[in-house]
Amino acid sequence: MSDLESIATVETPKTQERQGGPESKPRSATADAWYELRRKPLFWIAVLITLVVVVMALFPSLFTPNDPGACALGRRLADPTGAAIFGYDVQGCDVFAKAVYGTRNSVLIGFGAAFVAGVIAMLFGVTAGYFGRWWDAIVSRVIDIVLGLPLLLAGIVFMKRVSNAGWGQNGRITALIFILGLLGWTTAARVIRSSVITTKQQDYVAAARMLGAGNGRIMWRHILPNALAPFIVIITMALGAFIAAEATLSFLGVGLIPPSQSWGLDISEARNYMREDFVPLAVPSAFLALTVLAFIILGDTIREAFDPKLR
Amino acid sequence: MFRYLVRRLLQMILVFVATTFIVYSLMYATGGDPIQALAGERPVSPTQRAQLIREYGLDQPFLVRYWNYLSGLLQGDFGKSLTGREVSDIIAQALPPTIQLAAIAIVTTIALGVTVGIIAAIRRGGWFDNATLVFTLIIIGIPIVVLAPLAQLIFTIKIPIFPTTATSGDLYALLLPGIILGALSVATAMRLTRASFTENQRSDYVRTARSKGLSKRRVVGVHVLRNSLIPIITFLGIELGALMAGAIVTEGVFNVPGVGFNLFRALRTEDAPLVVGLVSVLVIIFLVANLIVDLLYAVLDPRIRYE
Amino acid sequence: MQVETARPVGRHLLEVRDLFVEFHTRDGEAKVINGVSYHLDPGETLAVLGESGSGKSVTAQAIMGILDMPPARIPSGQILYNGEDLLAMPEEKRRAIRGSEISMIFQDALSALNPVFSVGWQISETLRVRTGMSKADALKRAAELMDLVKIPAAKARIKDYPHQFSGGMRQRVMIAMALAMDPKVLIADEPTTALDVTVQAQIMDLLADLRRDLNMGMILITHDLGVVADVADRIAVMYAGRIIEHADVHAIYKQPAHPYTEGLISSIPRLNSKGQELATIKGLPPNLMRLPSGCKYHPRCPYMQQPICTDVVPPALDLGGGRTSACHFAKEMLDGQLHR
Repeated sequence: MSDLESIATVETPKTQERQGGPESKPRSATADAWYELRRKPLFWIAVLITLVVVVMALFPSLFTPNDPGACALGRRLADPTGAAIFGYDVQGCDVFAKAVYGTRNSVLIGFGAAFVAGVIAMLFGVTAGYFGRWWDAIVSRVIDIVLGLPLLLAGIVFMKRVSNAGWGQNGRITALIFILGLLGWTTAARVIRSSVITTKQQDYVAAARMLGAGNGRIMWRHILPNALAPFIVIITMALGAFIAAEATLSFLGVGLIPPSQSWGLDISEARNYMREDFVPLAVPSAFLALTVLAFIILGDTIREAFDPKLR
Repeated sequence: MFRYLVRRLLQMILVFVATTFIVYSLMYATGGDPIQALAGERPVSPTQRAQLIREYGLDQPFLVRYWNYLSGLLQGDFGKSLTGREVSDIIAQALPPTIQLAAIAIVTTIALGVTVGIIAAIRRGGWFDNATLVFTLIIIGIPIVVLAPLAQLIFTIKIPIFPTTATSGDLYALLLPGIILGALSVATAMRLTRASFTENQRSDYVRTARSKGLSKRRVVGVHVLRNSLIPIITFLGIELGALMAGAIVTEGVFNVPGVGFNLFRALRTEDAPLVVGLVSVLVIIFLVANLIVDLLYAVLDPRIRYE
Repeated sequence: MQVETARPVGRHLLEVRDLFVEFHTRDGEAKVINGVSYHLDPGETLAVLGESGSGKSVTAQAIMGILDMPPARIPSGQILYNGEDLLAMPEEKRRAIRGSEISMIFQDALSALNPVFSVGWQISETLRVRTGMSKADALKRAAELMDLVKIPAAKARIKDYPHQFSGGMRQRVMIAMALAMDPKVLIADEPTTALDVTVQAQIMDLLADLRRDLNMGMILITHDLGVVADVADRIAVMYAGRIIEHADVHAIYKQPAHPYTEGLISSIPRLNSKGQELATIKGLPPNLMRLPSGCKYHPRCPYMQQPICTDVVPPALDLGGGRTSACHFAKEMLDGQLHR
């Protein structure tokens, strides 16, 4: 949580201000939020799931000795044996191994897209909020346009283009990262922008400017730290949304394609024979749902901890 | 008010032109063989090729083609599918089930999401509130690609209370997909309602209303509610557009012959003109919904009305 | 309701007796009101003076019955209105008094008025809901009330929304709303703090006129000693949830009987103090979670003497003529014998 610790800046507003009540002892917003977070079981559950998912993405072989690509039609829908704790799917592949190895692509695309979206949002949000005027107007219109394209629809069209270009496995992963990132930065940028505008008008920023601090220094030292908490929340939640979007696009046939491992692909395929055996559907579904849920809960609990109004 | 409307309208036109341009140029521009791009990975015979070039005016410059496409869109002409059918015909056939589906989802959202959100806000901190928060988190956290197949598995196969598919288009068959489609909106509406209500309950004018000696019921039911409804109604409007655009997975899973289902099929059959046409119509619906919401917002909030 | 009920001798229109209020917070109990007593008679103005956090607004909200409970708690005390304890009343009965017998206006009229209803609607609401008056009649009455508080072209502006008014006019709307039911007691919580200085004077004049014309009792809550001099009859100075001095307005200006009051008075800028450094009260208002021992003012008091000030809570000393002071050296102060 070291990144959380580093965003200490403003002091908490007086909680009982309206009632004319007491001022609580001054404490930094971060320390306050951390105090709130620490006591939330949901937060710790989400952290645990996130850690497991990340480790699984990095070292899938720790979780299963089986090769997800080693399929044998002779084991079609066979019962669990040994490490294949959830049995085999219709093509005789290890259901659990497929789900474990599917984690890597999900996590890679989720984090990658979140990184791309985060960088774009930072760049546009901070500069638009700080410099204002025509640059702000342009950025705001670009945000309008990107928001006019529903993520899934635009993802479909973009990925269709990639499909037609005949890109390979890695090409598709890269494409997904950039497409989702390019479509998903707007909310974060808006939040940063408005947060920058608010901070810009604070007296201490004016004071820093009068003391001769340059634009870069003011943005970096004074404005950015205040925008960081909401930014982290939105990017965390977007990470979950990107993972879900990848699965959906793969499910629809325009995301990853075999032999790539993807939960969306597994779900799409397993759906066809779920009357016969629902386990091959349930396992990737559970992996996907738990992962997305973990990021959503993570973002939500952090947001709540930082927002004294919600307490 | 008038200036606000004009500004919003201009913004929408800009967004409309820009989004359709993006969609159009992605499908038809950027190097390579446009005919092959149109046909996807299927082989194209020379006669087909000649016909496609004529049909899509590929001998004309790109911007001219885009202009033709845009003016076609505005006249309801979405071009021809690779199957030879008019895309507008397919849309006309596909819209009613999609609208029905979205309507079921929105009704569920209002009935369940808004009411539960209000109750949770009034009993903030209680067990009902906490249960609501956890429930909404779970619903928001489960992607529709998981929710739709699982619901189909559970409620149509394991416990067969609903038909597996809704091809027929009768209302009962649409109920399960409608609720699934609306699940995310229900959860979001619950949270939004709760947040909006909570925030308004704490505002100064509530203290004023109480100091007037009004009953708690009137303070909450008139003063708080009227203010809280502004973001909720805004949300519902945007959501209606988003629901229609987002019905691809649900309609695909439940075989509802709507816009999303056709898009799903067009993607599988590599029918590029149909994909572009359907995406365009969904984007238009989405934008129009947003515009209506802006109008509604102005009606609901006097601070904007008299800007 | 209009008939002045006969009051037994010695009974006040409104009387707060030994009121305590606590706030439950995450960091513990905050003792916000620690035994406040004051009273109000018809036609007079009592100014309650104090820094923010001194408990002056909380007392008023307790009188109105609009404290959020929890987190607030009233462990003991009485609030008597015409001899009846408001705190012991059933909520329904209390609600009948709130807003009609005792009403309140707030500091920031922009946020205190509901943004989505027209001012006419908001002024007439009480009349419609509580007296069953018809909508048309109530609106007519609302226009009269807006006239009464001197809003120009009241009839034409009845359908306007709060954000369409200027700050001063909005505060007038608040006042009109508070007067809708002809209250006997009007509590004004920092009514002019959010306004420009020129507008402040106009609003204070209006309040003084209305109080006289309608024969109301008025509690004026403020942190600004300059505001009260012309308007108030009596002043109650609050510090750390207690009334530390209570006196006639002239007496208090002439010779304060509490060091805190003295500090407040000497920190008012004066025309003849040009060139001199403006006196200030050193130190910060006390932390209500950890109130100092003894006299709550002792850490900031220039006359502090150990051990009495640090160990013994000073009782409210009766100095005669309705004057009280919660200072161990109140008599010495009155006689001007106290030196730093």
